[in-house]
Amino acid sequence: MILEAVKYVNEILQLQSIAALVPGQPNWMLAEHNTKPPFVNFMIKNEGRASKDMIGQYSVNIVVTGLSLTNSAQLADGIEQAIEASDYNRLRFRGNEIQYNDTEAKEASCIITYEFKF
Amino acid sequence: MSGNLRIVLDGKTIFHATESSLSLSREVRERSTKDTDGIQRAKGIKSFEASASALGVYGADNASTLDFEGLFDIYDDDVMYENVPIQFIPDENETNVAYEGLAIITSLEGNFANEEDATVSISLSGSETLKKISIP
Repeated sequence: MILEAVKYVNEILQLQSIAALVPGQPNWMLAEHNTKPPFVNFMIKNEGRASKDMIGQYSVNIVVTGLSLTNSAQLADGIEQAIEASDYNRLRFRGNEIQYNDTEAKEASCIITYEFKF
Repeated sequence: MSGNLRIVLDGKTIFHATESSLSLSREVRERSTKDTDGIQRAKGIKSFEASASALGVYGADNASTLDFEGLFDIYDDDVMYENVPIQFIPDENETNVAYEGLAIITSLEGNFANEEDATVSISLSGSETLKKISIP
């Protein structure tokens, strides 16, 4: 069922409110080589079954890459708020972490972590 | 029995159950007189208890499966459900036996924590004894 979970997250990340912040399609795992920020990648992990009716436990890392540390944090905050305000209410926020991608570049990424059952 | 045991109330499975428990017990009567050699024990009456935990976040149809709303209706309806029919099915796909009886919901709890999936817990007390039946 992981493919269905991927579709679910992809659908969320294409919300109009998120597309307004980060134009372009969200990328499952990897963006095209040399993609210019801002862009969004996501990684999903199935962590096993969560009930006797075969619902799965998933975690997803949404990696928001921005032009700078501040920019990626602003975009991540916007995405978090957009998801909170949407009808996609399965995602449980588990925090975020911000980091530079390169020691010599200003580009940075904010990783937002969610858990959900699907 | 395996971890797949399901509790079925009034023909409806508790939806997204995460844990099911069945407890059978029997009272023991004791007798000790000047003519007995130690304590004599005899079988007393049998009883059973059951409990289950489930996710409470995703709605069931309440026709073949039960969510919190369906469980509440059974708990709340004293006319239709003086005793609710209960079945314990070891494995829905493979078993040819089940255990059935009548029970009363003695507690129904919901836990609704921030940024967590809601969970439901139910406890049942058996009325009369549990019977083993064959499933065709």
